[in-house]
Amino acid sequence: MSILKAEKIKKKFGIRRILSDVNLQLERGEIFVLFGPNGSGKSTFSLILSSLLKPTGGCIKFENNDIRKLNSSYRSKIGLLTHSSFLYENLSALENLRFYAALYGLRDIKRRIDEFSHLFEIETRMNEPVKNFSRGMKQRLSIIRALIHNPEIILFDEPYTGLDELSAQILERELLNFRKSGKLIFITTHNLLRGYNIATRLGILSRGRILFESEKKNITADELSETYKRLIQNETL
Amino acid sequence: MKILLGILLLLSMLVSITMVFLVAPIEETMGVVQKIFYFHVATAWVGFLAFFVVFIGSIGYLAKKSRRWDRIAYSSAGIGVLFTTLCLITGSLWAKPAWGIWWTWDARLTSTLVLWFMYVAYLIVRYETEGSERGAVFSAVLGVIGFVDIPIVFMSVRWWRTVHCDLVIVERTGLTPIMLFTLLLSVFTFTLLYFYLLITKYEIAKTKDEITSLKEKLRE
Amino acid sequence: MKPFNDLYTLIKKDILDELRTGGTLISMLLFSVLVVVIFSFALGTTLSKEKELGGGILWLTFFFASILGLNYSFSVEKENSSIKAVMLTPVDRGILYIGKMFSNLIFIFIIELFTVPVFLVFFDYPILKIIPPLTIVLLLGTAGLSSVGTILSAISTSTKKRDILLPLILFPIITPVLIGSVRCTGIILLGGSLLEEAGNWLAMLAVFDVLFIVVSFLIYEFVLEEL
Repeated sequence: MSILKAEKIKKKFGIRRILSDVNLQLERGEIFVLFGPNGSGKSTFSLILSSLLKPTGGCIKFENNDIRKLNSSYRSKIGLLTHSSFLYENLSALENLRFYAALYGLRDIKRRIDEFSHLFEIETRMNEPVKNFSRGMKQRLSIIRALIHNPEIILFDEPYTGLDELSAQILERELLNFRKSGKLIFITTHNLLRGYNIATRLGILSRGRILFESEKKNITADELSETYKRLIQNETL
Repeated sequence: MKILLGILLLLSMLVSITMVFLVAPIEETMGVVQKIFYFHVATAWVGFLAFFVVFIGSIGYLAKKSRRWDRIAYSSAGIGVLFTTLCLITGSLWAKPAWGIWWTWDARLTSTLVLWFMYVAYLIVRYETEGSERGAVFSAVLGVIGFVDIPIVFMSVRWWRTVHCDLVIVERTGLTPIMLFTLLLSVFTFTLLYFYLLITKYEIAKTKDEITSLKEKLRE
Repeated sequence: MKPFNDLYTLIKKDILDELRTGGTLISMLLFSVLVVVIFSFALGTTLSKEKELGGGILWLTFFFASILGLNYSFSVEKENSSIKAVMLTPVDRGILYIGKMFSNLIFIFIIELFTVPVFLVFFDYPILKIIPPLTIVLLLGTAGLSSVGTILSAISTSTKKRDILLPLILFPIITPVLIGSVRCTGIILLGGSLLEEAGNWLAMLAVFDVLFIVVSFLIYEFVLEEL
């Protein structure tokens, strides 16, 4: 049974239609990568999956229950990363993480923060205010923030933005570990190469529709790249 | 149904105006000026009724999130502000000949003024968030908070004015039965007018929504 | 108890943020002292004879100073959309309201505690006699101000006219609080007994506070979802 299911998701902002009838089934232990150009609706779709944004039509089901009925029991299972960092600029990295960890009601806050800050190699700068951080450092901290409560569903919107090669590798290593423990990982990106490497399944979103969906083993990186170009071009014509 | 209401309104208006200007006797002390009273009270009543409908519409919208409730609340707020404005103007016009001043910080006047500000703020929030669902939610929240606030505003303003102000205005003495009947008729007419305007504004809002969704279909 | 821990965490975060920047609180304080000074230029020091003027000056000052704080309290949550991430945690949305309400209450109250002595000195009032009863009025009035102020600042920061909109929508709604607080303050400044002469005003302030904390607690979630 799929852990997360999007059924006929529609989203409009005013008269602009962002998503039209998006259907998608996501399983535990998979890394689903959704490709798409800017403005294709990727970010909107991951926000809808997180329950933060309400779709105009359709529904999201978690283990066959509508998430609108699950409320906080669903919310706390989500690890969300978006283009907004969700960090308080004036607080230090440590204070930010402690704040979120406390709201999640975690017990071993110190151990978890130490572990993650070590993994993502920011432990030396934990006491600096976030506003002094570079884009990449902020991104690492946001990733830790999203994972701190050991979420079952990891939704990462453009996680590679601002990450250097090393941090990207660390991130991928951690995501593979999460995958092994049976979590669902959903990533959106326009970086075809990185996305292809980490994915177990992939899809292409353009103009609010999923135009292509495939197991990774059925497609090579070159084929993906070709398909992507063809679909995106068709759409823009 | 709207046409029927319109015909009824027209008849009621004709009768009311006849009653106010031709049948109802001229009041002894204030003279012909007193006739503004029939409009003043009726507009005040419609103002309250409108804000009550805003409250109901707001609660309905928050509970159901249906555009219908939002349209009712929004349409009613505009009419409410219009009639409260008329109420303040007619009150002021009446105050000048009656008490020699355009404005007095009488409890009822002051409360009405505060109310007016409250719902003008509602319309501003509405304007600032034009058409969005967010705007509908925000104004619904204001509609609820504002209405819950009304009794406290009235109470506090009354205490404020009656502690130090000796100016107690007794305006309802010496109403003859025919004057009372005219007043009630006028209130009834204005209530019909309110509902007629509400339906019209509701229809306009609905048409706007339909145009929007048509435009959207054209884009696709 | 989870709700109390959450409240503690939320309020601690707001206070930490203020300590790191210090900007808002200091500007609010400077602003309110400045307004008091301007009033003393304008009116001289003959205030004690004027019944309501003293209370009016104080509460108008507090109202405008609190606008500064209320506007900041939400723009910091929206700067990096942090409020969205907070909404994903299992914390109850009503608790988010109570937390913000208390943070605002604390900040505005601190401003008042510093402004009042300055005011009393400038206008030559007996400080020690006035401060204890005035504290009760300050607490009740400020609770009213921040109860509605918190939910309305969440609304105003999400619109285009953010800074100017808040006083426009807040002022009419909190008229009862202002009238009540000004009255009570006036009575205290004139040396009257608060409980005997202003008992009904205190009761009205308390009713307003409770009513609007409850109403806001219930409808805050709707506002949050549209931020």
